Amino acid sequence: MSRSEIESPGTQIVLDPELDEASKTDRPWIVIVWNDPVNLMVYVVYVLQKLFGYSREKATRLMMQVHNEGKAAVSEGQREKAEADVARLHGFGLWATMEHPG
Amino acid sequence: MTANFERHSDGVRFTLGDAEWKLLLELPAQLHELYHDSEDEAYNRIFPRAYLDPTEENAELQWLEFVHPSLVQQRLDALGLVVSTLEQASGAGRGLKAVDLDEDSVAALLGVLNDARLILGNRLGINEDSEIASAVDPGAQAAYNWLSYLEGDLLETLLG
Repeated sequence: MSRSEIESPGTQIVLDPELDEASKTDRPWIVIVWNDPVNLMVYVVYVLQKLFGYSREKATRLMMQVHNEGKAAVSEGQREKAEADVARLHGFGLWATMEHPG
Repeated sequence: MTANFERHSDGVRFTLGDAEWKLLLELPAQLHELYHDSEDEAYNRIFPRAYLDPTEENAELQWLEFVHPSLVQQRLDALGLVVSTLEQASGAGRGLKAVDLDEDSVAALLGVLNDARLILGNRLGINEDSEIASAVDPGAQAAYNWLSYLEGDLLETLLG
């Protein structure tokens, strides 16, 4: 869960800035929920079911992934959708961010 | 702890002791203050970033400008609803109060309990290794434990 793996802007190498800009807009995003020591496991299940309409099984599986691996991708889509999902998760007090997969 | 939730046809009946009722009614004012205090350590836990990638700073700022006011407003609305709901509680004998919660007031109460736990958890330095902090503030720890019990009980009632 440390943020140290994030590259600082200065270290990022952009081979072709124009290509990069064009591809940036089309690349999908994933929404990550991070593990935190306070949110109750059953609460995370409740929120994932309520927000995304996931089955109890799917919501529980994602919650366990968050709990055991420190994070899980809970939804995906274009930038606007991912931004909206992150905001909705924040509305429920879950720690969520968005990034490109991979 | 006497507080409990009981599901019935129209919603959830919330029964709690007079002292618990008073404690719960103190929460909204404290949360209200924190929602407007970006200097508070817990503020960033309630309103985290969307983007971790520092090269997305412009997108982060645009997103923040777009969603932050409604994220705050939605929390303030929940505080208001929790206060007005608790104020409707009536005596249920033996030092108890009871109030019926509809879907909206259940959601508001759940959000308030959870935010209060996030903030107290931050203050207490609760981490993965210990759900009990090093007892620097026994009062805050007791409040945290009580809120955890309440929230767990409410969720059990909702999901059960």
